[in-house]
Amino acid sequence: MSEVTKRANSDLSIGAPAGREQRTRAFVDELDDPNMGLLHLAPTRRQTRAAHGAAAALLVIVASLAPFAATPLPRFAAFIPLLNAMILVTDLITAILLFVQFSISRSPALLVLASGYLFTSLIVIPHALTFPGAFSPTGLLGAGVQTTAWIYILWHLGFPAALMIYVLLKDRDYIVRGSIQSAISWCVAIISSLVLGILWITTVGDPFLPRIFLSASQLTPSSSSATMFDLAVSAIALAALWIRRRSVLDLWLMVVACALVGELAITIVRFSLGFYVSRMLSLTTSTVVLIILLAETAGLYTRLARTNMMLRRERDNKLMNVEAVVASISHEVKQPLGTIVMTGSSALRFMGHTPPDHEKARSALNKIVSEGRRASQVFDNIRQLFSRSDLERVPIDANALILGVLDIAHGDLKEHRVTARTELMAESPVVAGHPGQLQEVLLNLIRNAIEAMDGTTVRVLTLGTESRDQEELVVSVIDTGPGIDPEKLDRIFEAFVTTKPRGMGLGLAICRMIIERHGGQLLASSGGNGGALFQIILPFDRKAGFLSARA
Amino acid sequence: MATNSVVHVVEDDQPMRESVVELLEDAGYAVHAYTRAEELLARSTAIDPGCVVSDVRMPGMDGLTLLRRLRASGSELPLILITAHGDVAMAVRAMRAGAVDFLEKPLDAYALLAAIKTALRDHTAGLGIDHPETARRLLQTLTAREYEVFQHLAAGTSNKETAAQLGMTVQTVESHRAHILQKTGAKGLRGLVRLWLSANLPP
Repeated sequence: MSEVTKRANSDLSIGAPAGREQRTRAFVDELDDPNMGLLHLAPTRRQTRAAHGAAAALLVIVASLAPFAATPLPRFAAFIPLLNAMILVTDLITAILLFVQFSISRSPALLVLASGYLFTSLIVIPHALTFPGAFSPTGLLGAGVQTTAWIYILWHLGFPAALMIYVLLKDRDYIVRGSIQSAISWCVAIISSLVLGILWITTVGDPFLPRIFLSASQLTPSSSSATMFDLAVSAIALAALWIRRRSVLDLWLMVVACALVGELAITIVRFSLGFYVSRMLSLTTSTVVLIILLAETAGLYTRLARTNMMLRRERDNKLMNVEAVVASISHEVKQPLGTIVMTGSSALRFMGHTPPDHEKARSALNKIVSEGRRASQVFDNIRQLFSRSDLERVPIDANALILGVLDIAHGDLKEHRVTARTELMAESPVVAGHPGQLQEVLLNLIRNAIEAMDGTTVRVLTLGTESRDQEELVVSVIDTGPGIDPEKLDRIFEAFVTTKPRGMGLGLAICRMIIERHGGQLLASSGGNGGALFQIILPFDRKAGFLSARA
Repeated sequence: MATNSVVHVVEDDQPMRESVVELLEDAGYAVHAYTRAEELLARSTAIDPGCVVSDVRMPGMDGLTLLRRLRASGSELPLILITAHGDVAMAVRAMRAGAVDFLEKPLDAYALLAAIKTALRDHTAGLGIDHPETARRLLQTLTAREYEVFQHLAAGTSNKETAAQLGMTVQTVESHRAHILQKTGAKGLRGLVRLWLSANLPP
């Protein structure tokens, strides 16, 4: 995953069509991967620092307040109902988001964690209702003196237990099969019955449970052993998380476990400083994961929207390419076909003369035959160009390729009185590619240039190679023709620009397609001297060792 | 058939150019051939009277620009444009820019000779269009809906686009088109454009 991410990032600066494609691919891979996201994403250094900072802050707060924990503070009756209402909402949302994450990854660990949060969000209801002095002096639902305290103890046993089961399950490859809906429904049913069961035991069974409170504000010694047990379970969960920590979620669950340990360490008789602080910490445990989940969801949404946009743009580009290629091929074929129709009908006319002009008819028929061959040649050339050998990439010395192409075009250049110059880089720039295709692209650009300069007096063709940031090779083809009409610049690769009197002109659309298939770009602009400037940008072939790369 | 009129042929594709030259010479015309529109314009002050046959799509200057340059330089030389098949918009632009005719590819010898003959005969009549009064009278026979369709088609809108713009099916447009052609006696799209230009209707 990190490999993919890295590649995606490095491509950002290029902005080449091929780069864009790779980048889109990376995002798509990321989205396709069901294991992506919270459960498997390794935290960045910044996330780790933030989590460590949060844990340290919690410890400092707990440690600095511990000596004064027993200090009595004013009794604020609405505190527990208020706090529990907040925990109810945040934990319920957290549980729902975790269930959603589970439905994507089908990881049983997430199902357990979601159930843990659901448990907390539900158990705070009886806790608030039975809290003495909150809704009635002795608590609702027939609460006894011990009821609320036992609910608290079981609450703080259940949640770290869920954390521990999460740790045990999280790195297994095991996934939940079958219906996601029924898995979630089962969990909700089990947790709800568990909470109802706890409520029943703690109310009806109140007289039989070990004593924790002597009265509403006096604790028995066994109270501290019960919280100590919870504290031990939480500490084990924290240690387990520390040992098996891997993902962003693990990291923040550790912060949650820290808050839990702190809460249990500082909790003491009601309405003391320790009591208030510890309950605030329990709010922390419920909000941390919610914030992380929300951030994750927002990030995922952003990535999804961006990927969607990229895919659409890429598809449009591809359609445009296909259209342009079809247009250029049909234009190429229509030319000889048009000549065949004209010449054939002329031949009929020559035969209709009295007496029939056999000589003219024969020459017309000969022309039809050769034009038919020309049309067929168009297809042969295209087939040859895009045959299976298309996939073979060999290291090519771009300088040598240019000199070779100039050799081929020598006759054309001489005939049109064009002076050819080269400005090649001293080192041999090596690119990976299909020599035949790249040669065809260069020939095509040269023929375009020759044609463009037909009407001008100064006819100089300049071919150059240069390195850009040691990353890419820029091959430039510059002519001294009239340049490209700025209005047509945008469309130059769409329409078929010209047909060639000899041989087959590929058209700029196909040229661009070839270059893009090489992971490069073909750009057209008006050069500084008024003529046209075409640039082929290709990545260097690192494997073959670009000679100047480290020079 | 021999005349002393000169036909100027502008065609970038060599085999096609040779064929056209051979055909026209056989038909008795004096022919000047050019590979690019610029070559013809370069001798614009001394262009022999006759007519021009030019492809629309060419490297360098296209046929439509050639036509506009010729008109701008005051030349009334009749010009026949060769367009790609189905490029209705281009054909309409050509007619409005003052082309005497447009021919669709693939082009055969008989169509070309007939167009040249008409162009040389009619070129004194400017665009070779009918009398405005006649055109208007013909158009008055159309129903309101047919007239709407006529306006779209004559402006170079395709059947499909016309259908979409007027909220009808392509079949309906085609049936309207058939009625319009029948009522006005126009020959195809060329006739419709000519009729439209003649009636001098607002676009």
